[in-house]
Amino acid sequence: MLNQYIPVLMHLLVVVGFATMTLLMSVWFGRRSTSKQDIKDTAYECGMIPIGENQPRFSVKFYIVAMLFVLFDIEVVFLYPWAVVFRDFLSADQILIFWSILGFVGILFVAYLYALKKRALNWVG
Amino acid sequence: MDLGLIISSAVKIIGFVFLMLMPMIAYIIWVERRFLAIIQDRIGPNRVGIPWTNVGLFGLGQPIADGLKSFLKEDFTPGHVNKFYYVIAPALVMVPALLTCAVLPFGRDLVLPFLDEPIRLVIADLDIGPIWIFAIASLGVYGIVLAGWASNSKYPFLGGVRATSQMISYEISLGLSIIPVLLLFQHLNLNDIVRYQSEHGWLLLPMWGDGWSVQRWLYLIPAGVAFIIFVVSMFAETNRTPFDLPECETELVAGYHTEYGSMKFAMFFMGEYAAMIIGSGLAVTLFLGGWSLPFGLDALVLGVFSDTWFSWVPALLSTGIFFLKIVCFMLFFIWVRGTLPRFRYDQLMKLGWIIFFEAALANIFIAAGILMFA
Amino acid sequence: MPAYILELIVVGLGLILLLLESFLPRLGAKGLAAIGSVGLLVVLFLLPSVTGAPSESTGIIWKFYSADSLALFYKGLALITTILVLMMSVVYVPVMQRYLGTGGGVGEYLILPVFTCAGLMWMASANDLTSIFVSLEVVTIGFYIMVAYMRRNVGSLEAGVKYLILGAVSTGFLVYGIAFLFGVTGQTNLDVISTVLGLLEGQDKIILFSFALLLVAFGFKVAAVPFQMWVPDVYQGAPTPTAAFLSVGSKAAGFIVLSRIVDAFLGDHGVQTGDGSYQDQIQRVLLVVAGATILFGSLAAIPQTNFKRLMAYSSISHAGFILLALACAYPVRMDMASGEVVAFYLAAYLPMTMAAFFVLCIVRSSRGEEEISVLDGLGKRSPFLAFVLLVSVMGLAGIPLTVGFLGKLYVFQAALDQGHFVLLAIATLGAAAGFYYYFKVVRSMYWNAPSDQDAIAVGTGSRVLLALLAAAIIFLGLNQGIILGFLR
Repeated sequence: MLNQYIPVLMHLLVVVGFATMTLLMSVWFGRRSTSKQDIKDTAYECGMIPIGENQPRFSVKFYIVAMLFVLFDIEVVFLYPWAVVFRDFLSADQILIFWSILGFVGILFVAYLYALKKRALNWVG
Repeated sequence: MDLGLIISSAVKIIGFVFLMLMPMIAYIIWVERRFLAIIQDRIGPNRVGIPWTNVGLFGLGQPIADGLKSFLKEDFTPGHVNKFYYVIAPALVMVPALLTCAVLPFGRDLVLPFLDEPIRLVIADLDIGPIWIFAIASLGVYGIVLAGWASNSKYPFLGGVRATSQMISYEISLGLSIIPVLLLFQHLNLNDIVRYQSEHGWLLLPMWGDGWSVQRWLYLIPAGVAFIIFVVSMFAETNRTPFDLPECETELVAGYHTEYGSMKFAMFFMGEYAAMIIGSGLAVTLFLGGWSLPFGLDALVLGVFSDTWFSWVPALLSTGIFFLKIVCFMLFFIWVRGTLPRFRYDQLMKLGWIIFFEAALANIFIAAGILMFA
Repeated sequence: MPAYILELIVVGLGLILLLLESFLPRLGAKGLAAIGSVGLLVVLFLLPSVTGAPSESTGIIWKFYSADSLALFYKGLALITTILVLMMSVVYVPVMQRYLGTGGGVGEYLILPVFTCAGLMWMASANDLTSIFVSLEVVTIGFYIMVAYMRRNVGSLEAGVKYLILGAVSTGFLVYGIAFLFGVTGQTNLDVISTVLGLLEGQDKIILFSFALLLVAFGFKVAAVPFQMWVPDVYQGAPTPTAAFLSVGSKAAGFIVLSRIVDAFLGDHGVQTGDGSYQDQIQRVLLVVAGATILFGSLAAIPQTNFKRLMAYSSISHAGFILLALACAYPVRMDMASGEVVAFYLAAYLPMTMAAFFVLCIVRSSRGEEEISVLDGLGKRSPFLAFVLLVSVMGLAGIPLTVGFLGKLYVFQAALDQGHFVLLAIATLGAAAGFYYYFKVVRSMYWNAPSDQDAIAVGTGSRVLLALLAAAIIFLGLNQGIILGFLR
């Protein structure tokens, strides 16, 4: 069973090794500039001297989106096993397999409507 | 442990990632530049050929020259960044993108005359295909948000925040859109899905085998909606035009990788193009029959090469078909980039959260209803 | 009709309210509360007609869910509490609106109790460690929001953060406890665990350790010493209806789960005091905690000047009495099991606490503070409110002819039965201290001069409810058979 995952592990090692090698090679082969210039060290703001905080405050909407994502992505994950067994259950217990997931999605859909109505997903104004 | 498994996996990893994916990434960038130039009535990069000669080869040397340039440039780390995260961020974008291809079947089982068992042309034949891809691909968000945050600069920061929000939003519709596919195939193993399509008709082209049934043709409705949602969400996931807000140059300079240069910058690009190729590969696998030929030609091919000494031909042929399909898909990506203008951010969010979310949810129940009653 | 339909109805009601609140904002707090309480009343009337598990076990749900008489009784308590909390919230809404800032609505404040009520009802029925955990989280997450609901009020935010952090810590303990118990027994169902624990040999230490972790977790929920430190601050800062809900609903649910767990650990074989088995040690720990809780709650309540803090400490001391009843697991001579004593005490505690908090809500909505001095001269300003509060504190103190007296009486009897004389002395001391600090409220109402003379307006609905609660305190006190009848 877990034998299936040996290639995955190898793949992971190869890819991580490749990424590391790429980063290191660019350090080894890259030309090094000898002069240390302060202007090169400034944050890029179209050639102007940066003003204010480097990490400005941003809209709380992004945070709300992240929270809603956690909620609904979990919903998606729960739908996968249901989808895979759905046709097996069709002959056995049609009502159970259909209505149980409808109830589950329904509850989350109410939450979605609520978020929508509370303008949590509204980016205008 | 099984030595054969390890050797064959090593060959498959090297072959798939470094002999197919990497050159493809390099040349897709060149194709993109040439193709965009044609769309915009320009010439594009056409000069780099063989050094010290006048042989131009339509600029085919361009990717190699670009790669060399990236390596040889100064590996500059600005003084104001958070060093550790700044350095690992490009790797965190590239590693998940390359890791997702582990479950993508890139060809029919390879039958070699001197081996007893056929070799499955997929790096890891896992029974959790799409879930693996989504799980690993969503780790790419970390790279982008860390790049934006660790750069300690305004434009990258805004780009990083935007990218995170956009990618997680479209992950939901992406995940929901393929559920009708799973409902029909009852498998999470991508190889099984492709084999089923090879015998019973592609999901979007059910014209042979068991495909000629009322149910399958009715199923074209949810499958088509799912395909549209999947492809558009994939554009958003990979930050491609018309959803390239995280790096839109008119507002944010270059978005989250503004402060990056040399190979680190190139790694973001490699990650992004790898994600595009693998996303296309997943779309092809789920909806367009993966490595299989349409109209039941697979059986014909198998019949022609039934001889023991040529039994490896169908596998190689199917690999070629798979990559041909991906290339067509990538051309579509580029075509869209040359055609469509960029979305506004509120339009992007509305499309993902309102239109696609509701459509995908309704789509699932339409699909389930068709399976129940038709 | 299987019992779990009730919870489904309550959740459905909450979802409908949520939609109504977002699509019909005109409905307002009153409309939401009215729909919510009518819906919960319907569920309350359906309660006697439900059936428990079918004889041949069908459906996986009965592995996680029991519908014995005790569970149904606690479901009733949860429903009544929630209805009262909804009513109280309507009175409290004007106060809350001052602290909400722009764009803040009170709609969710009236909907969350309904979801929390569903959680409380699940907790009453939970007989599996997993369903205990899930239902407990449903309840607690609702409370996290409700406690911090007045988001422009520093006190409410402080209470919210304290409750959130300590709640999370106690959840951590709960999960560790569950993990250890599962590690020892390999089971999650409490009935099965009880059997398995009876068969285990030489595992006393790890069994005790898992019990200790669970006791810590539920100690937080029911406010037992030494896990009581959040109670005064949270009660003081939280909106008053939430404080009432916490002190009745959350506590009742905590106690039913705790009593189920204690039952599972002690098993049904008789425990000999002092025989050194782990059952005996569990009992001793419970006695120590109960004694400390009574003593701490009663003594710390004496110097309080804030009414909600006073109620908080008094609720700690009541928790001590209930723990004492729980510790006296098998009273031999009484015809009541300890679970029934606990249930009786909680049922008695409900109308008394609710009445006290309700009066405070009404007084608070006309005056901005919650010190005891706000009650000065209440006897003149509103004789009705003063009388209801008088009855309620009489009940809380345990004066004869009120239901509070009966509750304490049963606890004392149980302790006497088991021969825990030290605990009896502590309990007597606690009860005596209770007389003193509850008398402060009475003195403030009838002896102190009022700071302003305006009469306090009491709506008809509130008047009827308060009259009902006061009547319940006295009537149930005169006729003990009613609660016992519901219990069996």
